[in-house]
Amino acid sequence: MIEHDPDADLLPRIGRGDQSAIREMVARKLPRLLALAVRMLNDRAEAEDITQETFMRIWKQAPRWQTGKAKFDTWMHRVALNLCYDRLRTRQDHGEDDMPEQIDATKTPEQYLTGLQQRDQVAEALAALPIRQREALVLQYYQEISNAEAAGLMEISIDALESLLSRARRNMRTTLLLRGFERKTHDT
Amino acid sequence: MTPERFRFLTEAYSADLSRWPDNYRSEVAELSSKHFTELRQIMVDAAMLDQLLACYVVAPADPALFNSIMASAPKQQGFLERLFTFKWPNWPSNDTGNTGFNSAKFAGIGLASVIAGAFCVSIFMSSMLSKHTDMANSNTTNSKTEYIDYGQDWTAS
Repeated sequence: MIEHDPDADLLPRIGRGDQSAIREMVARKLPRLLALAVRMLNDRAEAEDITQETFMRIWKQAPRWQTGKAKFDTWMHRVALNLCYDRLRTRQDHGEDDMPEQIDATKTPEQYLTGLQQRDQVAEALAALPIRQREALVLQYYQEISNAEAAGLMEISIDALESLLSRARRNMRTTLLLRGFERKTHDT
Repeated sequence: MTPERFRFLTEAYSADLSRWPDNYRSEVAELSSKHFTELRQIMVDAAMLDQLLACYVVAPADPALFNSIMASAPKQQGFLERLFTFKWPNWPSNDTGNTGFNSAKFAGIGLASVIAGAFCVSIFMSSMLSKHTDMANSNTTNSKTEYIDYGQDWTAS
């Protein structure tokens, strides 16, 4: 039995085509879903496709939703993550490199910082993480999902989640340090 | 909890203790009373990474995306659709909070009741009419004609 699900009341109304409930659901979940997909895929256009597809699944599921079995937000994240994984597999099948550009040793850290915005550098460092580490960090840090829920979503133990998170953050730190990012932040 | 364990958890959950699971907080409070300086340095290191991670803000969705999602949503149901998908709240409910009574079943029972009622009325009406129904032979057409006798004596005319 799960605790109170804040989205549960909207679902039967969505199932009946109640436009105010639909609008509220989109307002609540669109930013979360888009952020999740952007950070998982590091590609805005693909992330928007995933977001739309996830909403299609939500509309389909809404009239059949059974309160108490799972938290709606967790289910929604699982759907979106599965779609993200499908995209990432397609990229691999087409020989696209999931890894971002490698560090160019000829550039100084300062050149990196002036050439790219901070946000883009963090995005690239995140995209460079192994997929499970990225998933753990995105769910726990950016989506602010509890560790128990994140572990449940990833079908791993909490210990395993903590290990993934720890490695993810260490890798992020190393990547960003290589780019002189952390030193710059420290200096400023 | 040891300082090493604290470092591991800070690497996992960030320097922001509000992001940590509740069950660790009392242990952290106890540990910080003994190793305050060491813990502080660990948190300063982790906070720098938090600051970097916070840079990664995703731009809000385009209005076009919002509109496209709204357009894909289900439309308002008509009266009959609403009738057949209506769920009676909490009657009877079970422990999981599900409405234990399926609306389709309810609609089915309602429909069956209407049919049974109509059947009873038709039986009743036919039994009433049969008391006043007679058969007569027509000499001209040599065919059988069924008529209903409403009480008038047609043989007298």
